[in-house]
Amino acid sequence: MLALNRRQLLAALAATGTLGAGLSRSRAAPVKTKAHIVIAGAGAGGLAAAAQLSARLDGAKITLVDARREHLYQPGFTLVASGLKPKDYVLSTTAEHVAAGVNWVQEQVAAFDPESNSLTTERGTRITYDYLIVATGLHLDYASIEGMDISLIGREGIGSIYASPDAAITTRRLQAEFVEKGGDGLFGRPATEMKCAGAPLKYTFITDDLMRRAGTRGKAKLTFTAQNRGLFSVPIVSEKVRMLFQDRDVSVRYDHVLTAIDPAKRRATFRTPAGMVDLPWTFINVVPPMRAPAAVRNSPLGWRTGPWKADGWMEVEKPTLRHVTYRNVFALGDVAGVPKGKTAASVKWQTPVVVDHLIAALQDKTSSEVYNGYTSCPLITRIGRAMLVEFDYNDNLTPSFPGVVAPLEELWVTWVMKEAALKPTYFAMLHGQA
Amino acid sequence: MKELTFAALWAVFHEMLGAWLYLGLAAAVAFALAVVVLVIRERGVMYARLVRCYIIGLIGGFSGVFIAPAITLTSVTAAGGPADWVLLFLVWVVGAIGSTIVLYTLVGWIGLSRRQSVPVAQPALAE
Repeated sequence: MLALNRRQLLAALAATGTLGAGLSRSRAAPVKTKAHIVIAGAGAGGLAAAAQLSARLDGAKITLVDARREHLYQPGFTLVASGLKPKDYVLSTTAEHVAAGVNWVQEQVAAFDPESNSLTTERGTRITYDYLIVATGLHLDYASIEGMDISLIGREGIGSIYASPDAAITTRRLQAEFVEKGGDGLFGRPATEMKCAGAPLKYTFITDDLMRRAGTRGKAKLTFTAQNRGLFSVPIVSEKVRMLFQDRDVSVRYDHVLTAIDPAKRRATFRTPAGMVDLPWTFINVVPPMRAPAAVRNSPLGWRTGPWKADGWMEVEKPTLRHVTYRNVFALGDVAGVPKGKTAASVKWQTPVVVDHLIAALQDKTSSEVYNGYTSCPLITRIGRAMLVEFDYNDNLTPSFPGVVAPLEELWVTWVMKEAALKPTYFAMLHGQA
Repeated sequence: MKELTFAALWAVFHEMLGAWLYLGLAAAVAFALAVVVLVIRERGVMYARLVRCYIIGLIGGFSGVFIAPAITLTSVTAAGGPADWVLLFLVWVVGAIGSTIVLYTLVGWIGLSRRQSVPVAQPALAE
């Protein structure tokens, strides 16, 4: 069916991190309340939630707590680290995205005390709340890789696109040298939960493509190290990526978890079922283990049992992102202890659900809104083509254009969504307009 | 995510284009007016000119097919499946029709202005 109805168009835009439910609701009469709602974290989730709450409430005190004055458009990091976009492509200020009427406390949260409905900042400011949305993002734990330090990025062939825009630019410089000279390229992902699990795969594909265009692919050996027996958490996508890697001559090593690096010798050590294995690199993209920020990890908000306990992800209900114990607390974005759901597209779909449940609680009502785990990944497989991979908690593919934009097909149209439509949609989301 | 609203679409395009959105819309309105006034003043569509402009406009269509991928940092060879071919075809159609209308209108107004400035026995340039 080529004709697109409104739902499909909407879903497609959403797939790139796009339009939202907030608008239709925002036209309803604002709910009067005197509640104090605190949002910890002014990233994508925090800003979008602040904007939607501001539009839907009348009289509420909304406080956003975050010291970061710079806002980073993280979905653009891969493009910057590939030389396709400049550094300023991912840079803006937090101030320009804070909704009118929202009180922004420019301090970092140091500790949460949900028992007393309060949090404390690093400067010692104590802030109490009626409702709390935790949208702090996550912590890039470079230090847990022995021998690794952020200051090493840019030296000895060590790249990492996650740490900052500068790190992405530095990584691009190393990638360009590698593309020219060849050698051993090491790519991989950590054993922890991570933001945008497609990013390490994209970076591998892009590096391969750049070398083919430069005519140097024959001088390089590209290796992807997977932390388990799959290349992606959704089995059908994992199998597709396996076939693509085979087609592109990218060798795969399964069950390899990066535990240490030796910059002087340019050797990376991996934990495998057969013991420790060393691999050489000319260029390595280090993807650090990712955990909840210390303030969350050290609070009672994290999982108390199970696989997410160690890394401190928040113990929330999967469909509502509401904390299982502290019912006036919600999680949003990366910090939520739910399967998958650590992308901007996830935030797009999570935010209206969290906001709706919070507002329903203010009115002693219940909301029927449900987050099904929707996540979207425009998985770049070469410059100019990507696969629009959309899925839910249960590993089901949830294509926005069934029969038109096939989810496992490498398409230019998907690349267009990633390259041209994602960023404006992301910013419209931050401003509560989409 | 259950309703598509004009405001949401507007917000996305506003983020994408900034002030160019307003300039583009103003230009589109002005151009549409120019087309309407031209048709009124010429008392209908000049089909001979339209056909000539359409032939040139085809070039505009093909240009669009190469320009659109370039805008997205790639080339037409990136097209990899049916959805891409459909999109490129739409780009070609929009490029061809757009080029034709722009040419038709420009040539028409040039002809009108010349007839006004040289009112005696000068045939219109492109008529």
